[in-house]
Amino acid sequence: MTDRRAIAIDPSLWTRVSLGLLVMVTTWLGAWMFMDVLFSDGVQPPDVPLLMLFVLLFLWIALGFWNATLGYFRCMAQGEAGPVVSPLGPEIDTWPVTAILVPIYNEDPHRVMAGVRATYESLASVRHGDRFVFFILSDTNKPDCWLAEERAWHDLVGAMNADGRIFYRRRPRNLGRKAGNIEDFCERWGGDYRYLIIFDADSVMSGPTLVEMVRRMETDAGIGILQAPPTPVNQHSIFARAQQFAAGVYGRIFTAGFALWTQEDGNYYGHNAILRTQAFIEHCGLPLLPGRAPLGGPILSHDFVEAALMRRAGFKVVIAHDLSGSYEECPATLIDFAQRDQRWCQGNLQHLRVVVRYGLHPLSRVHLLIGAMSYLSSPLWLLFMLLGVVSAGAGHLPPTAPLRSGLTYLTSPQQALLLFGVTLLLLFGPKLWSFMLLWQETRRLHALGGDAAALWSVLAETAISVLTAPMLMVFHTTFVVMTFLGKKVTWGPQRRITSGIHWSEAAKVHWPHTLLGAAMVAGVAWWSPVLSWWMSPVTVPLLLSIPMSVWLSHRRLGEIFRGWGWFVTPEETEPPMVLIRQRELTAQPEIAPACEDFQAVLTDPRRLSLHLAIMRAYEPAGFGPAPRELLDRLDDLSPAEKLALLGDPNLLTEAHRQVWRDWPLPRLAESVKN
Amino acid sequence: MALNEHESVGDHNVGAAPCDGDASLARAQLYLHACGVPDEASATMTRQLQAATDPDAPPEVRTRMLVDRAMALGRPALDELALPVILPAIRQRRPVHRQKLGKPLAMLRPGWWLAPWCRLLRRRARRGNDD
Repeated sequence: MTDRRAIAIDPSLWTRVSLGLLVMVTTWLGAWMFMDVLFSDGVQPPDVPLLMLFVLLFLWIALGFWNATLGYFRCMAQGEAGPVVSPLGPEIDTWPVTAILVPIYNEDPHRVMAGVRATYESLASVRHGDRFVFFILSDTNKPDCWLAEERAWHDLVGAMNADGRIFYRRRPRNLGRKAGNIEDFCERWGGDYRYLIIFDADSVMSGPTLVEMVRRMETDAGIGILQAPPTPVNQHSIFARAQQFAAGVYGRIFTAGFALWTQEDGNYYGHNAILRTQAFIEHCGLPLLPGRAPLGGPILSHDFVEAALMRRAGFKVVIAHDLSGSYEECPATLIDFAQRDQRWCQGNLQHLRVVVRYGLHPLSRVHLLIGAMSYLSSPLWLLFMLLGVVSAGAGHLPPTAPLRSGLTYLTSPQQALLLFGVTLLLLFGPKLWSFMLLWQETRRLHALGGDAAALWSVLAETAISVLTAPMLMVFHTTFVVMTFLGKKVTWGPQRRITSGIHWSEAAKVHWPHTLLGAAMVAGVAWWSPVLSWWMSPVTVPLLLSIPMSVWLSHRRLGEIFRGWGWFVTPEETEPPMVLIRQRELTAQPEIAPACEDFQAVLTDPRRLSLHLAIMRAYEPAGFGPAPRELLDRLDDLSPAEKLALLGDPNLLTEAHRQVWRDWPLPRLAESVKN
Repeated sequence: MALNEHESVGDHNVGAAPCDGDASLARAQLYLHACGVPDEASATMTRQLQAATDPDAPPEVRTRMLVDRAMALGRPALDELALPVILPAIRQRRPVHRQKLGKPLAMLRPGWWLAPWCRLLRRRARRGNDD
């Protein structure tokens, strides 16, 4: 066991100092060149804010670049050893029972259970796999989805003979969202499990990875949270496949670099991670933020704050960058991606209220700031561009006066071009490093479809990221402004699978982008025609945002790309057994009930019995009385009324009695024929 | 929805006990079947139900009586349903300790930035007086 006091000595100080110095020096050099170009004709009104914005943005991309560079060297040093997928360390004497929590909220139960079942089967194939139990923790508030979950869970337990290994509970009130869901579990059952492994509805993890995570927690009692970086899988649209490819190829060096300089001061992404229950219960109860929502009130993006609190309590938060076998699904369309970002944006901006408090570890503050900056950088970028256009149109850029920096042998336009080149290097360098790393790893290159396919994929992904960046910039800017204006966001379930988005949906979402693109084209052409070409990487994607969003989200086009070998990932060419199984189970047609689930619960005594048993297992007293007049129109209830009826065991039993007295016999026979 | 007295019951005879066109009895028998009562037991129960109810009672009353009795008879079968363990027992509640955020950092207050300058100005002023 590791002495927790030992973490006071920071073993990675030199890495952090080096990273900090590299970022600072790069930013200083960039600022120096920019200043030369900017101030060469004297200081003009927009120059000072331009310089400040430049420094912030350059610092941001320099951090990303050096993080990836550190990761590149780390991966190079490690070689193609491959990730750890089986227990390598000392054997544990007594394996604790670990709870795997699957919080769900109006998700497709068939897909959720496919992931749970694949993970369960994977665990069954490894030693100590029987030391895990699953809790499906539902916060679902759509009545038919709720009942479908009950049915799917019951079928799963029956099919796997997993009685007492896979549990299900639904909370009547969705308090505190996902964090509240887990908190409720901790209060009731947390004491029985030394560790919790948190899943998302789309998470899949392999048995060996789960066992290895527990082993690492057992061998180091100082670890509070161990995060296995999730790899995005299973999507079909071009947009999502490009993300999968990027995560698989570039994500590796980013994660390796991040894990190198953060060490035990890492971060938590909210899922595919193992938590030390006792420490979590004692130290990670989320505080309420002062002030009103959206920046005050309950914390939305709970994961970063929980990691910060865990670290504040002296426990390590570790990114297990070497662990594979951890998967998730990314949004299929640009619109879904933006919708997810809207939630994250509000949550991450709330962190600005946390970051300035006493008691947090400095690295926790860095994580919180990075999270906020992920969204704040967009309005800053937009502002920077607008000020740049204004400045250039006014004749301040490019300058003609002599330069004052050490690069006096360069003319001002040459220096501007040099700065432009450095910026491109910072932006695209990590992609280059990743590709260079691939060339040294023949097996991995082969798994990505070969050298030519990998090269085309990198180029295509770069093009897509360049084309979508302006749209995301406008999306993020809108979200940031809305949040600061006090507009709350609504949280819905993510649309995880789609065949594409319709033109009308794209037009509804992207018309402001198109309009903004047109306005920018016209404005720049009028104000400073010479800048039209320079601004085209921003204005053209905005103008084309509607067709691009449709095409990038198209499933069929994504499959054509896959046919060409583009955006192929190792999880597709050499899929692990757990993913093969999950895909098989998801593809299996769902056994449809004889009637809709609500009617089935009203008529089928066994379904009713299951439903009542599930409710009473959570709240023996029942969930609350529903109005009796619902019995008068059982065929015509709104979703809210159905929820109320389903939550009242007594009235529901009475409704059951009533339909058996009153409904036509053929209808009853049809309902219960299964 | 009102009871349809003329509904066909012939197709819905389940198990061994004939309902002889008795819609109410067929309904009770279907209920027992839906509860998972085995056919033989269901036939016996249906006969018991038939014997226990007044054939001359109005259809609504008779249906109500039969359904109520079928629900009571089906209860043991439902109780014996092999429902999986839904949740483990709660051994001890462990309230999650709500954490408090620390105070805002001093550097966010204007005084933190202004105090050194004020001190400096005061010192200079003092020195000026001394001179």
